[in-house]
Amino acid sequence: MAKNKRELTPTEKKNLRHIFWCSGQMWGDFTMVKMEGNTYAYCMLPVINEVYGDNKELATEAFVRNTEFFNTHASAAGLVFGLSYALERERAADPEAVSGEMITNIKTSLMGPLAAIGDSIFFNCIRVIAAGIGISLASQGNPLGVFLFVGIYGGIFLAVKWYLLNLGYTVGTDTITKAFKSGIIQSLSEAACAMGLVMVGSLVSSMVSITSPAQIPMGAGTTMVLQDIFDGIIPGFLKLVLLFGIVLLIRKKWKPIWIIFLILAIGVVGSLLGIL
Amino acid sequence: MSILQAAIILTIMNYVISVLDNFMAWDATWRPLFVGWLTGLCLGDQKTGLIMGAQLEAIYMGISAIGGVIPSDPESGTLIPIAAVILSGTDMNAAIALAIPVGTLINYANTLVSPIQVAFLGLYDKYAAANDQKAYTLLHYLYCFVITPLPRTVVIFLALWLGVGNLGAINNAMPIWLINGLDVASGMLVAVGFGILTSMIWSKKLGIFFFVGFVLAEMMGVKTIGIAIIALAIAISIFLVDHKIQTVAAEVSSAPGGEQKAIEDKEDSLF
Repeated sequence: MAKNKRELTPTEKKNLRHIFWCSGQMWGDFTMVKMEGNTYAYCMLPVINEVYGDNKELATEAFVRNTEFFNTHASAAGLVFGLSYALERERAADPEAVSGEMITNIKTSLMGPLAAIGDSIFFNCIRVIAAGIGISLASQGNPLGVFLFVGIYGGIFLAVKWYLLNLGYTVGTDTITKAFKSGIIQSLSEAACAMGLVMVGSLVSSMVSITSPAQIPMGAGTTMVLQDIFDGIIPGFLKLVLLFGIVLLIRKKWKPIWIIFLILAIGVVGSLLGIL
Repeated sequence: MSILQAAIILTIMNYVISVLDNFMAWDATWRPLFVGWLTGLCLGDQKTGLIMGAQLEAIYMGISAIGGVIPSDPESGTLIPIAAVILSGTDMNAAIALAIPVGTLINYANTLVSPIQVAFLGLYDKYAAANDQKAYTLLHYLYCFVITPLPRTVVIFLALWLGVGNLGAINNAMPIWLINGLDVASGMLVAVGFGILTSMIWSKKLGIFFFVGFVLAEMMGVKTIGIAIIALAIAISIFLVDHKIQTVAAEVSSAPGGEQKAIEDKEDSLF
């Protein structure tokens, strides 16, 4: 399965470009039945035509096989696309050695880990960073925040997909499996988590607003503002209490929508009582 | 601008956004930041759109990330409240507080119309089995441009046309204590999205980094872009150290005799 360091032919380049752009349409016919499967087959059409040529039987088999259920992160999917392109080529060269089932198995075995890594890196890290920068500008009424958000988040999304697609096609299955086993993925997602946490921490400080106007009578006509006591512990104490309260409820399997209703209720009751 | 005119303009805008996002699958243009800005632009009040979009992005940041199932639709949860604020003078904070329930309602409506999508799925299998690539391609694009976005577009149009005026009316009928309460709640709601995110990425080992970010912003007043750079530096160093440890571990275990031998050697050398 070694296909290292050779120039790609114009057809291969064209097919990779086709996969790159068309795999973006994954949500166009996303359903709970096949998920991304139908788009997957559409992306693979030129590949099927290229590698199987006039062998109509194998081509049809590959076409039907590629419509099967498929679901992973839309950017990380590039790796699977690249790999399955290489595998279809090998199957065309020797249908006995590479069975259709084997290709499906490799696709399926990559789906889960790639979705987990893709979701955690993109949703918990890259999107948090991009949105954090975007939010901080947009909340001052600066449209640059929107462009930066789309540019950073969408740009990284596309760049990663293009890189993984080419990687999957050129390095072969063995290398990919080795990489998964080497723990590089775990290191990567650990780093992404740390980055996400720093960003979330800073956004909690800048976006959440919760203050208490309540005053406690201290006798002899003096009062103490409750907020000052809290901020004496650590500035933004109430924000942290609120955040970790929510984290606790989520750990207890509360649905987000109920947490939201609870907060609406707390807001209304708290402001009526004059403590929020 | 009448409500109907605005509803038509925003429906077209929503359709374009849906198709654009489906076409890139990059999860960027249907987010509240982008939708909010564009809604404001379409209705001639860019600033309101940006400010509300930013706050709603913070709320939706965590909410849309739970394994494929979105409890509240961020696109309509942004579009409708912003339209209500600009067109019918709804209080901004009250509208933000109502955004998630609105998005949830729209999500239910979308689920109701989703059988339309499944109805034509059989055709895919039929065309694939016949190796009819032209028909398959045509069906795929029909899905991208019509079958998937159209039902949602109709839902959005009805919600805008019938909902925006009513949201304003509801807002006007609200007593002042309720509006004050929603004001307070809207500042706290942002924490829900962050709470979900935190609970997903929190680990005992890395938890301290949350406080690094919090302290940088709260006590030292570092701007977001500065914090992003610090976060990137932390991430790179964690990756390099972690990866180095793993490489060394792999080298040790691949040495002659394998891992067990290496550990035994190490133990021997202790004595």
